[in-house]
Amino acid sequence: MIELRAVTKVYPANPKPALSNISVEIARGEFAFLVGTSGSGKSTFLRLLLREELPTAGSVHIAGRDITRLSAWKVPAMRRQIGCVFQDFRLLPDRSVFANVAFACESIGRPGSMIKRLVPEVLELVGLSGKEERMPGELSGGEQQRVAIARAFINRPVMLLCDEPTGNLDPGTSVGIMRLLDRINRAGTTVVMATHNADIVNAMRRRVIELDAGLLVRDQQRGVYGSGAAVTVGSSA
Amino acid sequence: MTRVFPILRDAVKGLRRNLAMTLAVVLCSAVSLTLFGAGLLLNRQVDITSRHLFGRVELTIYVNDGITADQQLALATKLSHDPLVKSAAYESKDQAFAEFKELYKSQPELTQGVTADLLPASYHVKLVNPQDFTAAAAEYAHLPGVNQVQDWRGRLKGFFRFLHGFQLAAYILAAVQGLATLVLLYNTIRMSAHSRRRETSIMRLVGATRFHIQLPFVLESAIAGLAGGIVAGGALFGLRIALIDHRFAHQEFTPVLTHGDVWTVIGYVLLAGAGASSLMAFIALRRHVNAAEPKRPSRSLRKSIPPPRMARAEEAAPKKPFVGATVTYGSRGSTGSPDAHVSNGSHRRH
Repeated sequence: MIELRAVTKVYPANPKPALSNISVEIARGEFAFLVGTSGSGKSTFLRLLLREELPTAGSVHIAGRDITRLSAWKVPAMRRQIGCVFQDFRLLPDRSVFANVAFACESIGRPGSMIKRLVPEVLELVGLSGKEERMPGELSGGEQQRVAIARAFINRPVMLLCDEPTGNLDPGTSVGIMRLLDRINRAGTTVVMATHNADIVNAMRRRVIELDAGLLVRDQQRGVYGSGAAVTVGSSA
Repeated sequence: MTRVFPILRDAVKGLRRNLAMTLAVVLCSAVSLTLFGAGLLLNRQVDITSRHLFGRVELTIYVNDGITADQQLALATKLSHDPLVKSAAYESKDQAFAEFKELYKSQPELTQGVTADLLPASYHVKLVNPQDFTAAAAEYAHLPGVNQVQDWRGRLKGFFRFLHGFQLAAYILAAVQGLATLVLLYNTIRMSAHSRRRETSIMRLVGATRFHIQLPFVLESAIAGLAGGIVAGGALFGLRIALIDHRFAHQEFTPVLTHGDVWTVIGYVLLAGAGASSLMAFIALRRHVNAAEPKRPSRSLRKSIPPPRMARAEEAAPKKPFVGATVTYGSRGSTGSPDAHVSNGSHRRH
């Protein structure tokens, strides 16, 4: 599904690579955590998958396609296969919940009848039925993130990229969001989630890919958050 | 299938959000389009006037009253065989008198006392190439029996130069004002795109095509341009009524612009307003959208990649500082224990 082949990313202003010779493969339907300290290259990793960045060397393949060689007009079609969720939700504050979710559909030219059918469906999936007309400002952080997930999922992407989706949420709310992501994953969507939240990683016991200063230092099935000491801290907390 | 309504709604919303700026764009484009339209109308008027004046005749050759039949025959033969001449029509004294009476029938005091005798017979000549009138005039002026050659175009040169001057001034002003409008529009669109960057970035991420992202903005400025065009069209129509219907309606020097002409020009003005502003929006947005997409890494950047480090952090950990440490361990007198040189922390538990 996702494959990075010997990917190196160097930003022009910084001689130190943000990612250095990374090769990873994530299968269809997998759930993978991307862990590492701030600046370890997690966000660059996700941005490469979205083709928000191009690697300086190496190639990125999604569904068997090298997206680094994609011509510009094919990029939108590629992005329709990917949903993304961010730490700061990125909702449109002047639009209702319904309009925020519908926006993703409208933007790719879906007909109105389809939008009217799909939006309530996906809002029910994320547990926000009955809150269609609320404005984002009237929702709690967890609810806002659910709207963001609904928006990311409404076009039925084959993979969901989450950049610290629980970063702004309290532990209880985070669990709810993780349950939702887990459900989406069990329905067949590949999920890649960058996170700092050790508890969640340790509780889920899914694949863990750890980056450190741009290097891939660990790739473990059913892994935990940090190696050694970090596990102790996590389990004692 | 692209849905029109949400896009149109976004465009109108964008215009209303920035009402003051929208108003500035509409007024600016209205002024420049009015000037542009005035230039076009003036052009049309010059066309009508010159066609009226030169449509039938470019030279008039007046013949002497005492011209002999031979001289007249020679003149007529020369005219009919002249490669410069397209057509030549003879007008007798009686015909000239009839036309004279027709022309001034509203002012009988002018025609009083004039008889057919007083008016000369003439040839009305149309040239193949109107530019040749000086050559043609010179050729016929000195023939026997010819009284005078009247070169209409030459006589009206000053008048047309005056009209063309006006027209040029209108075009120059329209260009300057138009440039200012386009710069203003460019700025407005960039500001509008900036204030809606959250929307556009989400659109990009969910896979909206470039066309779909740009459409509301292009539509927005097309609406503003069209509004400017409508104001300009109104101004031009007002100008037509005020100047022509009220002022020049009764002159007989030349026919004037019809309502049809004004409508045609208004059509051009609307088209120019909507077209130029959408084009400008498209250009302004191309830069905005392009800036969001990643650039291919430069060759120098690709060359600057350091050689790949080893994949494991433990192995890649810098060993040099520990070499010194090893020496210290050794010199601390652990008496050359074989373990003393082991520097990597992960192996320390051995």
